[in-house]
Amino acid sequence: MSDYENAIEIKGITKHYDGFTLDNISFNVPKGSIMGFIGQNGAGKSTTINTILNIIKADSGEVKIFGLDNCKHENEIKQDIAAVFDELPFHEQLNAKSLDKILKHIFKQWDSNKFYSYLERFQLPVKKKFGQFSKGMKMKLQIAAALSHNAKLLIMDEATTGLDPVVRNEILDIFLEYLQDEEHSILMSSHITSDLEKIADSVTFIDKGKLLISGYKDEILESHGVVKCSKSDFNNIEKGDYISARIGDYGVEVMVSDKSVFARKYSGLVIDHTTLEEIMLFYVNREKKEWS
Amino acid sequence: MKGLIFKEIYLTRKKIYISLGIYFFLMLICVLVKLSAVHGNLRLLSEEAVKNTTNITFYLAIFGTMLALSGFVADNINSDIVSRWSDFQRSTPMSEKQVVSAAYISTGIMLLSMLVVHILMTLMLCAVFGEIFHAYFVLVFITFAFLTFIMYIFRLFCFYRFRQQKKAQFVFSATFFCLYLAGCFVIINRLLAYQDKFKAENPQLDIEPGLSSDLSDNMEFSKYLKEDFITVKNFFISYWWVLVILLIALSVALYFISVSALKRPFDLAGQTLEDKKEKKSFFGSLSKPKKAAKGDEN
Repeated sequence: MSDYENAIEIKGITKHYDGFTLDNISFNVPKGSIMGFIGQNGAGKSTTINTILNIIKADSGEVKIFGLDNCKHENEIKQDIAAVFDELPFHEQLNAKSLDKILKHIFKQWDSNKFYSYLERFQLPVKKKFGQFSKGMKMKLQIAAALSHNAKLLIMDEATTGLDPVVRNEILDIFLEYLQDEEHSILMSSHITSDLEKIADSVTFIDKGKLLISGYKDEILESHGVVKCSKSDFNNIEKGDYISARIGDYGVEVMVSDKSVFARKYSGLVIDHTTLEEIMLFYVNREKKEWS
Repeated sequence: MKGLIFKEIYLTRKKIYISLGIYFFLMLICVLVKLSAVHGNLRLLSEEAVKNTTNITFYLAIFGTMLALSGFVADNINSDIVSRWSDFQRSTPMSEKQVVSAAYISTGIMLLSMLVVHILMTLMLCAVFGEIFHAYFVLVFITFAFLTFIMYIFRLFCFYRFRQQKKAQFVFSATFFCLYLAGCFVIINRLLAYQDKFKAENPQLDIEPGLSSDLSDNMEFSKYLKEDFITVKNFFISYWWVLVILLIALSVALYFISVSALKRPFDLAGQTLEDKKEKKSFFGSLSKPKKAAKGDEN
């Protein structure tokens, strides 16, 4: 298991539900990196993550974790995976001490000293019941538990949603620490793109069950840009040369996917840098082409 | 698996304390009544009344442990679903066999510990009440404990199969309601049979057809009831091992079907679009098409 290039390899994952289809999703999470999995609510992020964790079975496709098939080597793989959910998945009557006693018999590499040191670092009480924890405390507790059994892969499903900026920042710093060792990888799904811009190495966009983009974050940000122009200039731009355009009262914002090609073709127009949030916004409206 | 067993016992401890508290309170009342019969005002009643009172309190104290039985069942499956522990469990390296085994073992441990408490308290009560210890004091408890265990593992299976509290609860309750109706049917049939027997033995009496609403006048019924009771008792004395084997076989069968029910992914994956035709079932809304994962609903 130590000899693998990608922590996660997903090929052609398809899953049908009534009113929703996850359609042929493929991407890799390289070892030692953090991938941001971005999409709006209902895009298919949770379904994809549930497929990776084998909580649900895909209709077709293949998932490999650490180079091993996630169905055939499920128990072996799960010793080295830590999942962090959007809500605390522990009973409210439990406290940190009892959780330690439970988890040390579930994970072979559980380290109680590490767990208690994280609790101390996050200033979490040991004997207080989880029902009395705030949302931020619950998330920190989950992360403390996730980081305490030497997991090689951290899978986070909207874990920072609903947290205040201070706590989010603290958590992101912890992830950067976690990744210092090149053996660890993170797959982080979120619709808070500002978090991912700070720490992600690569991003994957998903919308309505379809993969839009997947690649290195810097390359995506470098290749994409926003052109702000007048309506008359916009009319000169061919439909195939842009992703979508936001029509305002005083001008038009146009998202382009290849700045260099666009700049050569439309030399008079200025292309500004963009953010992941803007990219997500424009891609989500790509079918409309022009929107306001 | 040790972690899961610890979790089950830890979550059930409050119920255990409450159940034990209720039982010890009941026992205290019974012992106080006994003391009143020996040293207090009760001894001023007739000897027979005192004897009957102490008998009732003695058996109430002995078999009162069965009131506490439900507190010793690790029935945390509902709170597992509500707290999303069941989601977390699926992301951990615990096999379905380990999960089901942990539930069975933790309840088994707790019922066994209750058995030990029962035996110790029975011995103590026999000493206080001056009664002889009989094996059936323990056998009756073991029977009820086993039946409680069967009910619990059936409920567990319902939750693993249906994955939703309402559906599981409905199926569980419906099953026992059907058993209750079957029991009522059997009792009414026996009472009608007693009536027919009584008519045959007393042809001179003008007895209306059908079951009388007032059976208290016909004390002969108690004779037939005793006959039935003796027949059943003799059957169990001769063939108690059949019941034991059946109950063990039922437990084992429920174990394996619970494991296979738990192995099914949450949304019954493996079905193609063509296979997912709307199922028409007696339970109507219980066969609604599956929805997307939470967070991915449109």
